[in-house]
Amino acid sequence: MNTTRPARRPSALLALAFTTCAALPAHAQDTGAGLDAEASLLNAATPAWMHGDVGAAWRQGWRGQGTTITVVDDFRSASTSTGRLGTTTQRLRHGEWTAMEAGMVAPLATVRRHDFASGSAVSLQRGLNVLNLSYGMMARAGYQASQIRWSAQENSIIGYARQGQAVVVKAAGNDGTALTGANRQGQTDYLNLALRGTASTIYVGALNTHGSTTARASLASYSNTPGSDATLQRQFLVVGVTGQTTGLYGTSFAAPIVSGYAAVLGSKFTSATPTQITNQLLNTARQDTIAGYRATLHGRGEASLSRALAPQAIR
Amino acid sequence: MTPPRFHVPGRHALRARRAVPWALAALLAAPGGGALAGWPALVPAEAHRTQLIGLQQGTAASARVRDISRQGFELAGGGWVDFGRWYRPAWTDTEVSFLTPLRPHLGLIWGVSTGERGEKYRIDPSLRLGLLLIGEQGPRTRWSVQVTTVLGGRLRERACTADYGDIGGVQAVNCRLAASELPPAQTLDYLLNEKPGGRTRIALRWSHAF
Repeated sequence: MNTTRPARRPSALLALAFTTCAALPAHAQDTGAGLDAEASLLNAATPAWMHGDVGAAWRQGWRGQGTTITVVDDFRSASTSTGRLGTTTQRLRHGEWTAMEAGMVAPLATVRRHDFASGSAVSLQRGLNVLNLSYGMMARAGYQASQIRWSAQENSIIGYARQGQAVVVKAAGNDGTALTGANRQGQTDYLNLALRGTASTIYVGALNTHGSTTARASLASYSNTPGSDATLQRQFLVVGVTGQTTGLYGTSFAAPIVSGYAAVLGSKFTSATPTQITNQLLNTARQDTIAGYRATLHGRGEASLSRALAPQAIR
Repeated sequence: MTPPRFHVPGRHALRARRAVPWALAALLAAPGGGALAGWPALVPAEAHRTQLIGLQQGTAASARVRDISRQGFELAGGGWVDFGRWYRPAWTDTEVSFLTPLRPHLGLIWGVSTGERGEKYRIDPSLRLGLLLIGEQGPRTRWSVQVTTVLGGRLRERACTADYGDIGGVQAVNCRLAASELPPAQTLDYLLNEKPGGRTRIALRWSHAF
């Protein structure tokens, strides 16, 4: 049987809006960018790119403590992009951006970096684990999932997702196609395929802005969709990616938002399993903030941190 | 006309005695007079028996609860929880205060409040007690010392029962914080259980007429 080894590709669209590059601040140069960003941002105002729900979380002071977000991404290559998540415009590697973003949404979560070129198995930490995957494993379309020769890295991730050992947050991809379909180059993201139907995976697509009932958001033109696959629809969320503010576009920057939400949820429901956290985020997504909501495009809808934190009933 | 002289016995003492209610009320009605603020300054000068000096509906505690009653949050399914149903009373805490002259220059301040209650809170009735001492330094200079304290009036909040479904089950929570990022059990640490603010007050006043 033929097998193939897919190539990793970040799920980002490089910055479209450039501003003057500023010197890299110390916290971004450290190996734990998310953690250091936390320290400098704890007392800062909520950045404009965050949903209002996150601002509420910040004010409560409960920001993901006791959880770990492991960002599997590019932390070593020479490829960088310009953006602005905090108060300065910076030029960072893809993984540095996604780690920083997740850490900003859940500032008290431990943010770990795992370079995706290492191929080594991802380890889990004590407490709730969230794995952020803002990349795809691309190969020519037409193979079965069983034909893929996964590295220890992806094998570990897929295993955690199947067994519900970690919340696995997967960027949907930026080809404007269905999650497991072929893109214009005839390639498929086989990591999307492998995570389909697993217990604790959330695929995350991008809206062009945060939605509200008075100003509904639309799917970003580049965002992949769940398509007609009902299983993928049930695992799919969307969030606003405000590239016009940050200079960072792509579902790469949608996934860390949901990773941060999962961490915040984990710090509230300290005994909840990754599968329960996953289901809570999926079950509380809202459709009334999306223009022309359709399950084939938006899956369960826009992730809502405030609803995910709230009880179903109270008396 | 000779001004009242509170500390001189004899003929002036009578004037002073008659003037006390007016003087006390005027001092109490001054800005910062607490629960007594707003009482008209012109109490008949000849009245030296117990006077009603304050009637106020709505205390600091009830105002605080009223702020809460205007809030709410969204349930996981999108329904709105209006705190008004839990934090709006049928009767608002009302306080009535009196001044009873004990001596020409000394008065007893006392009063009671009704308290109030809603579905998720209670403000206990309270008793206010205090003294007012006034004096003079020369014909145009007066001073006063007012000390009051409140017994009771505690604001207590009751917990809610929230159902978080599979992720958190059914738990006792602080109604106001059920949808916050705090773990449900920890929200109970923030249930209101407070003595009334400004429970003991000491006011010193000095005035001089130019």
